[in-house]
Amino acid sequence: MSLWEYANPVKFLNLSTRALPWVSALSVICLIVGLIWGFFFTPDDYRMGSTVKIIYIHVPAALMAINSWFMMLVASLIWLIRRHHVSALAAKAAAPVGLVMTLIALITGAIWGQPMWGTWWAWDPRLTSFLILFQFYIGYLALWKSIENPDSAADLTSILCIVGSVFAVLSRYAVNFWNQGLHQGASLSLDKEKNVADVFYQPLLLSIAGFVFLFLTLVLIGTRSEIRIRRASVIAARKLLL
Amino acid sequence: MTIELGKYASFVLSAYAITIVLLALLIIYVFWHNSKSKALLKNAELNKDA
Repeated sequence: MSLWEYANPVKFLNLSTRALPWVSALSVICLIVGLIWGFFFTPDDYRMGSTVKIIYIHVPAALMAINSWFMMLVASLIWLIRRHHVSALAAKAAAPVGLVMTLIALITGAIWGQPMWGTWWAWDPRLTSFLILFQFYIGYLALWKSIENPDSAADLTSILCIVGSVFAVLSRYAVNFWNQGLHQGASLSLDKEKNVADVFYQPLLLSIAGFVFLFLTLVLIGTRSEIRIRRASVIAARKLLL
Repeated sequence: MTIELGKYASFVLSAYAITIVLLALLIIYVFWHNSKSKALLKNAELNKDA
């Protein structure tokens, strides 16, 4: 069985019908357990005090903000190369989710920054690249809305997605290669030594899993909605031709 | 279940409150869009043969 079979809208709808209850249940379980564990059952950090609890929402939201854009990039490339409509519609469905994740990361980052850095905002490489990424999300959604022909809209938004990927990469790696600014290094790394302490790490992983499953749930539902809207517009267009 | 957040309580609580509100709005939007798309398709299919 090939992955490309799911580019067929009917097969995608069947698969997503089966997957949605599992993905949404995992999302609810991981989010509830991860956030309650992190908020109520982890100690304060010796330097950051209780503000360390913001990590359980800020880090997963920031991760999803960047990874949503990468998912949109892959879907856009599939659309541009293989012209599978489901991939273009999946990219469109992921954009509002990514936009909200970016907004959450920006707001919770500012709230965390005020007591720790003494300022809500600084023109730091990671913060600035995130703000630009947020504007790319708005631009991407506005472009979809402003073009009537859905295939042209998919083409142009895919190109915008490729351009915006520069800022998604910058947002992801700015703290590694731009050794300046206020933002701390990455909280998670493949190098265990660089990770946050174990007591924060386990609930953080659960929260991240919860955000990932929430993203999948919302994108699956969103893609199904976009497929229905596309099908309705095709039926309406056929009726006009007859 | 009580928790002592100390002098940073307002920062921590407001971060969680804003996140919950934004996620709730996103979920409501996705479900609203989903039900709108179902109604649109149903309407189109009904009118197809009309």
